Amino acid sequence: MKKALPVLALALLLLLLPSRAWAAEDWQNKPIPLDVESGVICVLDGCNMVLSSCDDAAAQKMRGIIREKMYKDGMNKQQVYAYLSSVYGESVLAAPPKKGFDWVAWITPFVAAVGGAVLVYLGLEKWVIPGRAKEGEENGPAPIDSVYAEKLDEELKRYL
Amino acid sequence: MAEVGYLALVLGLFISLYGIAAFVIGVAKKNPAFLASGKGASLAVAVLSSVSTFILLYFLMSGDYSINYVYEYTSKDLPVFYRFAAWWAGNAGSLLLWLFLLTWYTVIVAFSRKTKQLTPYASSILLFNSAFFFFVLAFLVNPFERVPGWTPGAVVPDGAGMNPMLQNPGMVFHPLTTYLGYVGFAVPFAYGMTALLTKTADDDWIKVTRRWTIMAWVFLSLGNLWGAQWAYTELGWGGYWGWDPVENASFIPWLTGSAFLHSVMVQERKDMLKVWNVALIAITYVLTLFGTFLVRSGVLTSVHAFSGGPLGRYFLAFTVFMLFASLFLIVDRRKLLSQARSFESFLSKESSFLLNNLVLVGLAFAVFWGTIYPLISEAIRGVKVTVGAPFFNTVSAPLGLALFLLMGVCPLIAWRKATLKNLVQNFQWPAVGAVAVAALLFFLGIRKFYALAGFAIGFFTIATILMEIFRGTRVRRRLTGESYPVAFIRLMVRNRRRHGGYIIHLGLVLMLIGITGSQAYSLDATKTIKVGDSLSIGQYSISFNNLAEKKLTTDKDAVYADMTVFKNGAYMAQIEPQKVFYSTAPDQPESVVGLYSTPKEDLYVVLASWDQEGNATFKAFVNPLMIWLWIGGYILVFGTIFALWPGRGSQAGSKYVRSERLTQEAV
Repeated sequence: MKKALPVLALALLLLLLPSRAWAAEDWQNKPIPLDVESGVICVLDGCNMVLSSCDDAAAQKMRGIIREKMYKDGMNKQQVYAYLSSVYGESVLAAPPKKGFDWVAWITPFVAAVGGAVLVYLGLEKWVIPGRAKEGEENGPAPIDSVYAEKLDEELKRYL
Repeated sequence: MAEVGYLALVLGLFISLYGIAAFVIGVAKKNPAFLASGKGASLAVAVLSSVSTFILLYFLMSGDYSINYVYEYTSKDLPVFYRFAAWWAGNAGSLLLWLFLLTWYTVIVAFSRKTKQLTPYASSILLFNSAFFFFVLAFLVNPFERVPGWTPGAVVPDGAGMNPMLQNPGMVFHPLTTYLGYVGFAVPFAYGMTALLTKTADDDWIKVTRRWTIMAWVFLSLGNLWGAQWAYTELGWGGYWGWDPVENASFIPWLTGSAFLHSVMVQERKDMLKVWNVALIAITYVLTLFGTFLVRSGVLTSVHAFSGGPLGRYFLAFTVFMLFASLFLIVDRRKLLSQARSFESFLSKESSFLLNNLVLVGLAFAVFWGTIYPLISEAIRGVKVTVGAPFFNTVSAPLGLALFLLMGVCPLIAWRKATLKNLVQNFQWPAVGAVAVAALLFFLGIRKFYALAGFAIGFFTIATILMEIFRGTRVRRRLTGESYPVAFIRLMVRNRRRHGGYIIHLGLVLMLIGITGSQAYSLDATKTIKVGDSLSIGQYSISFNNLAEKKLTTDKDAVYADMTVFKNGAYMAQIEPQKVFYSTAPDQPESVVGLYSTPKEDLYVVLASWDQEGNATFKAFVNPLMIWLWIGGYILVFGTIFALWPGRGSQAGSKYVRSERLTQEAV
């Protein structure tokens, strides 16, 4: 059995070789998932559009790089993004990475919204007249005198 | 004649400054002659800006390519329609359009009979803005500059031509409406500042400027809508909103303007939020200036930007000046704007408006923050990052959904005080329906949270609005004995302000449905095929019948693909995606999308490239519910016109102030 192992390994390698060679040709035509393209900026010619929106020669070149990294080198989306950032700088990514200082970009809008909500609450605390709402709830709306109710009906009819 | 156009700009600058001085002296000395002279100056300034404008238009139409602006944006073969639109295709021309609108708006304000006390101040503020634009046009971006190397008598035979991407009706109307929106906000801003300068804390300025504000808002809405339509049909990337800094620049003031339109109702009804309202309109106007600065400064990378230059610095200085001048006035007059404690309940329409404003301004801040973050990152870390769609979609989705939820809740909450019973009565069935919709969609296979939430909230909001209208119709029918259709029409017409608002909200919800469908469930496919083959996407099969070339006009040739659309094997339509080549810009072909649009979805096919053997590469998208985005947008515009049309039903309701306060005021 031990002697058979190298033979099996060689056979497996021989089986894999053509498929690798075939794969090496095929990856050039494979489509890139939209979510990968829409996270990258077309920076090669300075058009600076999101790659998924750009069809010029520079965009095709960038797609070629992404295909190579994804399908030839077997990188996943995050690894492709890390590779592109290391080559072209962080501005190649369509959004700041969620790490280090760039967390500020992501959390500030939500912090501001929460801060705003606190301000609104404090404003209401200050402006709402204490006791008035409670009093209204307990007593309910004042009953309308029947004379006024009739008058209201008449006026409504006239207005409508 | 170019010299006359230029001289008009220089004169316009000086007469604007004179007009300001005349108004100031007229007010200080109570001298009617100076006030009349200020009015005359306003009119003269408008005439001068018109002289410059008409001369530039004459050059554009007649094709005098010795004028650099005409050379850069037109050519002999350009149709008359686009020659006219070249007025705002470039930097100098678009600033001249801004000035033209601003000066005539100033005339309307200066000669207004409604607000004689406020007019001189508001006119002065508007003239100050005009002076800045005259200065910029006269000394920084002269639209009458000759081409380099031109000598008197020399004839320049042809121009460089307009960018093919701008030769689209959407791109003609989009900038025009956006500018009408931007400039329109100058008027409520001027009146808001006037209220502070004259120490008048009442809501007269809001009443006077309501129509101005709504007109500016609806034009900005149309500007954004047509910009999105242009991007969708012209750029060929299957989308309509790219969160580009320049797109954001027109979206942010739209958000703050929307917040202002809602919060002024609290001041109209309750005499509250005075500081907030003045601050909001100041921020909105400053943001329109900021947007103009962004397009012209080159500080942020944008596909829409004009080339940089010194103009950006001047715009920044002006924007900062206007911001700080407004803030100073607000802080200085804060006591004047102080308000009594007069909310009667945590649960009331006025408190719901606070929430609405929180979300709108929060959203505006999030977009603003994302837009300027590259500058912050560069200043602090020395690294310029890009902030694009992934960021904006993440931060805006929860706030946007909250906003649409409030859109369903707020209009049905009573002024002063609502009770839990009211809420249950108004919202129980829409809420149950929304949950049922979410459950049904989940059962049908929709699993994305934002899609489920978007459709459920959309249903909730539509249901609350329709139920409210139905309840009103039923009450009216009971009181008047009218038939349901008559009662419905009269209900709508008798309070157009309120019901116009409901129509606007309905339009916005339809837009939400379009956005949710197209964002969450868009399909895309890219394939290279030869004539006779088919491209499949979703339920569609698109057969590629032929690739050919045709001459469209003397300067345009198109390469087009003849394609037949089948859905589940059944014939649907013929489409013809094209690439149009302009003789003036052969390297910049325009994409004409092959579009098959239905209420359920759009099939969107782009001819990306081809080779000599007749193989062609196509990008195809299926964008669900796309058409509802456009339909919703036009319903919004209709609702605005419905609410704004003069006459009975367009006025604000009566004030809800506490009786004891009224008594005190009377004493």
